[in-house]
Amino acid sequence: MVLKGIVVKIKKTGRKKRDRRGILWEECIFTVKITKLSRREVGKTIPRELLGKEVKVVRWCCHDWHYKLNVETTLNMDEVVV
Amino acid sequence: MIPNILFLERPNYNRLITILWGEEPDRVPFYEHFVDNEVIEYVLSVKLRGLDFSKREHRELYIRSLIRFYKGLRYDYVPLEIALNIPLNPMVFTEDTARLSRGKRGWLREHDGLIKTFEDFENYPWPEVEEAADYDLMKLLCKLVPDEMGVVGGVGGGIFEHVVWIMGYTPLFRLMYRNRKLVEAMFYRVGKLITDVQKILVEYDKLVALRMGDDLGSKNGTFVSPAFLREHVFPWYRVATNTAHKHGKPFILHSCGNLKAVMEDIIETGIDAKHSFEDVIMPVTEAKKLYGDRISILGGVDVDKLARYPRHLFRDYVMKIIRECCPGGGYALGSGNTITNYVDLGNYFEMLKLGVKYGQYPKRGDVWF
Repeated sequence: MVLKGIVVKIKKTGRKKRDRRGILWEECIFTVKITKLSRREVGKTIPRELLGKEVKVVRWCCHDWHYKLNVETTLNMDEVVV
Repeated sequence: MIPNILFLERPNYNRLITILWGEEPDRVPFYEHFVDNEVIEYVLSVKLRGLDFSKREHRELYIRSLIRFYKGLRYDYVPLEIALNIPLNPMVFTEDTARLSRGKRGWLREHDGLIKTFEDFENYPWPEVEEAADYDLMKLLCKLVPDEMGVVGGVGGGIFEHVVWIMGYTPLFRLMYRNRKLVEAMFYRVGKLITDVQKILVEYDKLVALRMGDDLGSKNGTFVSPAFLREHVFPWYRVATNTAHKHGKPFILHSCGNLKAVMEDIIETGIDAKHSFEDVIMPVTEAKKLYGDRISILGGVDVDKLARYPRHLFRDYVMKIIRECCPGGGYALGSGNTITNYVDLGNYFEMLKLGVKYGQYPKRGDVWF
C-alpha cells in the first residue's frame, strides 16, 4: 500500500554523502503527517488508524526544493509503524 | 548536441507510472504528447516523411525510429496514437516557415463538413470497432519496445475533436441550434466508437497508460458551453478513465485551451493526469498549486519560450518550474504541448539536461549511493 502525507518538519542530521556523480546529499529526518492513499490504490480507503498519524522517515536531500515544508510526499507501508 | 548527462540515465517506465499515480519518483520523468517527425529526423538522421505505411518495412522503420529517439533522450515510454479509419474534413495548407520546415503546414477545413443532415449521418461509413483503427501498428510498437520502456497511447484525437473534424467548426456551431438531435447523435456515436477502441488497446500489456488528446478551447475559453461539455463530452472521459482503471492503468487527458471553467468537472471524471498548459492561459506552476493534489500535472514548459527564449532566461524559467512543480511528485517535465518543428532544439535539450541535473527526488534512507 502506498501512502501520501504532508511534510511538516525537516531536521538535518549533519551526515553527508557524495554519490557516484559527485552530488553531495544530506541526511534529514522528515516528519510526515499521513493524509491519504496514493491514487494507485483505486477503490481503496485509507485505514482509519493511519489517517493523521505523524511518522518520522529518513530522506537524503541535495536540491533546495527538497527542503520545502507543507508539500506532499510518498510513503511505503514499511516506513509506517502502527 | 545531446547533453552527455542524459547518457548516464536509464529509461524506466515505472518512473512515469509513479508520477501518474501522484507519487514521487527517483527523478522527474520527461513527458511529451509527441515530438514532430522533423525533429526526430534531424536528431536521428533518418527520413520519416513520405513513408508508405502499407509496407511492413516502412512501418517497422517508423516504429524503430520512435523507439530510438525516445529511448535515446531517456523518455521512459514511447507515445503513439493510432488514427480512426474514418473520412475527415479535407485539409487546407499554407507554407511552413519553421526552422525544420515540412514544406506545407495544414489544418482541417473549418467552414464545411461531411455530415450536415441525418441522412449524411446514416450514410457515413462508421466502422465496426475491430476495423476502426490500425491496431497492428500499436501491436508492432508493443512488440518492439524495450522491456524497461512502456507505451503511452490511445486513439489519435478525442471525442470533441473528431466531431469537429467530421462536421467542421462553423457547421457544428450552427447545428447545435438548428439540429441539436443530430449533434447529440454525433457525440454519442463518436464517443462510443473511441471508447470501444480504447477497450481493445488497454488490453495490450506494454501499453502502460491510456491517453486521449481532446482540445476543447482557445486561450479565451471553451469552444462550446461548459454545460454542453458536461452533458455530451465529459461522460465519455469517465468511461475512458474507468476502462484504464479496470486494467490498473492510469488515464491521461491532453487538452488544449482555457479550461478554467470546466477543470473541476474534468477532474471529477477521474482522470489521473492532465497535459497541455500555456503560460498565457495558466502557467503550469499555477495549475500545480490549484489541481496538483488531485491530478498529476504533465509538461507545461511553454512552447513559445521553448521556441524563442534566450538560453539564460530559459534556464531560469525551467528551474522555476522544477522547483515549484516537482515537490510532492505527480509531475513530469516537458513542453506545454509538443516539441514542434519550430522550437529551439538547444532549449529543448537544455530542458532535459536540467531535468536530469535538478530533478532528482529525496532518496530514502536505505538507498545505495
